[in-house]
Amino acid sequence: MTWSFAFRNLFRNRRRTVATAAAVIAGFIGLLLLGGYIHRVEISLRTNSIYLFNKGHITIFKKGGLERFGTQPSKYQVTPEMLTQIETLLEGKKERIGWIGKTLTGAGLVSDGDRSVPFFATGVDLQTLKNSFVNQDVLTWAIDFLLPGTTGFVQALEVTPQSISITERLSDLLRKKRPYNNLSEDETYVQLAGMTQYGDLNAVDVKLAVNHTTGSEMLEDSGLLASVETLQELYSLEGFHYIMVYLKDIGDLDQILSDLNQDFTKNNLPLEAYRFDLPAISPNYAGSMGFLYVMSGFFVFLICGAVALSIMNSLTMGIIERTREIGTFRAIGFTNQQIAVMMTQESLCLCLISAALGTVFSFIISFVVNAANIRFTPPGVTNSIKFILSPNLYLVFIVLLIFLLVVGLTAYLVTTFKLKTKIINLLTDAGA
Amino acid sequence: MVLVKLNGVKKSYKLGETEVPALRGIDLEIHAGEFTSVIGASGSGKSTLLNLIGCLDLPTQGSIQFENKEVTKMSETDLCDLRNQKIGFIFQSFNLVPVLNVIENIELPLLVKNRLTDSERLLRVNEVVKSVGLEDFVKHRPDQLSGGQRQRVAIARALVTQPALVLADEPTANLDSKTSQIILDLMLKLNQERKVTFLFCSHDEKLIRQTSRVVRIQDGVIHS
Repeated sequence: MTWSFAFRNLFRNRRRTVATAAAVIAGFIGLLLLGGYIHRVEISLRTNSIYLFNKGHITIFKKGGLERFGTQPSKYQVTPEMLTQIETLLEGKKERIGWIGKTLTGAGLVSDGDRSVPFFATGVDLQTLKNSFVNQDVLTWAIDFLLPGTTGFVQALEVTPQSISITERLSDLLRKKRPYNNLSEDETYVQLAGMTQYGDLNAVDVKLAVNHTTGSEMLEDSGLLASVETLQELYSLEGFHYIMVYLKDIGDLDQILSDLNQDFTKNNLPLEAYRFDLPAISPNYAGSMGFLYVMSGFFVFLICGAVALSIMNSLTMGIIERTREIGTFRAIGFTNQQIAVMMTQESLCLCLISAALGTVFSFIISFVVNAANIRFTPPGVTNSIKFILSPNLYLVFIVLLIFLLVVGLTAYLVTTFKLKTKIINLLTDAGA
Repeated sequence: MVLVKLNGVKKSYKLGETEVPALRGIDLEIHAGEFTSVIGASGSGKSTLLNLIGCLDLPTQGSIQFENKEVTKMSETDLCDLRNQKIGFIFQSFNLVPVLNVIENIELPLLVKNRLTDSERLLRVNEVVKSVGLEDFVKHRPDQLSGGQRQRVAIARALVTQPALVLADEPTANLDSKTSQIILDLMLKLNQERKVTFLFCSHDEKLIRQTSRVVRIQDGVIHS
């Protein structure tokens, strides 16, 4: 009967119940939408980092390669033999692995004969490009970072392995008009110049195929995408900067990462594997998420504080109004704790109803906001991205859990504190 | 058999800096099956006396024994148990829970320990509902009942745990004279038929005269 009693008590002072429920609903919507926004940003940045920034779920470097490959590529490259050993180690886990990718990075100058512009190149294997451009998460969550023509890079590489993709800003610096299929055959060819591992200057002719975006203001003037073989030729390297492991299920990440590092040690391989979300691997992901988590923590604190205050206020008023009734409960044998539980159930009841309404409102607001196609440009990002709120049932559960905890704890503590009054004073309504 | 025994019970309240004595040394015995009434003017200490016997408050000095157990030395939990299982309360202003219907109000004391099954509890509630004559009003909420009916609900609630003692603090004060008589008759009937021990407090001489034992209290002291 106690839950039914708690529910019925909500109708005693409807105005106060509505006011308290409104505060809880507002808080619930606030947290759910904030969670929905963070969820969208997290999945978008994660997808971007794994597939479009070519980090994979797990990134494998030669020991020290993470820090020193840029200055000593020949010493810190992952050699083809090491790649074979990695593939052998992952053989037993192949049902959990999507594919293994290879990346080589480097800098140099791109020139059309008239002018030279510095570039920072990423060379990726064809399979990684193919799989990444059609990955469902990329198409759903990171489509803002995929220019309309970028996916054509795969076909271009299949026809001409020396094809490259450059950012639009790099294209402007080279004064190359887009799209490149309007240029004459000669005009599409440019030369990449770079320093080989032996310290010699080397150059390769490449063909401009499409444009892409790095998504980052800092890299957008120099972004160049090529096949890993093109960069190997340019830098006279046989190996790679790092190897990416793409998983079928991100839930396997910790297990496979731990197994890999153990296997490297056991087999005396000079390799080390990292998670994609480490600041050293994906600074954009780690930095943005770190900021968002701190900001959301602050909002959670504020919202929970406001909800707790509303509950405290409502309960205090309720206890004052029902002083004599509480005295009667005490007189007929209920303990303070039992009464505190009853009052807490009342608040939890209100919380559950408010949460249900808050969930419905949140999904309606999300639908309206998403349909409005609001776009914005976050700091440091090259292009505008769509403002999307994506609350889901998992978030509802988490927020509900937080609210039940805050409301339950507040209600129990307030009631316990307020009930420390003599029964006689309660019965004579001398105030709780 | 002595149910309650008070020895040299004193009770005083603090009113600001002043100590106000409410009871100045009470010696009293209440026997099982008795219908005792306490009469006294307003402020004479009769409610304080009932509150102490009902374990709603503790004396400043003296001893109170309930079934030979010293209540002044009991823990809060033991006092809750004692109030729940051995004592029934009937209040002047009924003190019913407005959102609960008659049945639910009456079964409240049985939910404290929840020792009975649902069917046993319902049987017990129906029995007391019948004895107070509220069979036709079981689904009514307090605001749908008259003053007399509300007090009957309060009596049923006091009886449902089959207590050793029922304390009624001016139960007729908010009722008209006719209803007051009906309520008193009901309590007298329950006392005679079910041997329920009643301690009834009132300032109405006419009602008091109908009870078997009268205790007169004045300025915190029993006079007869």
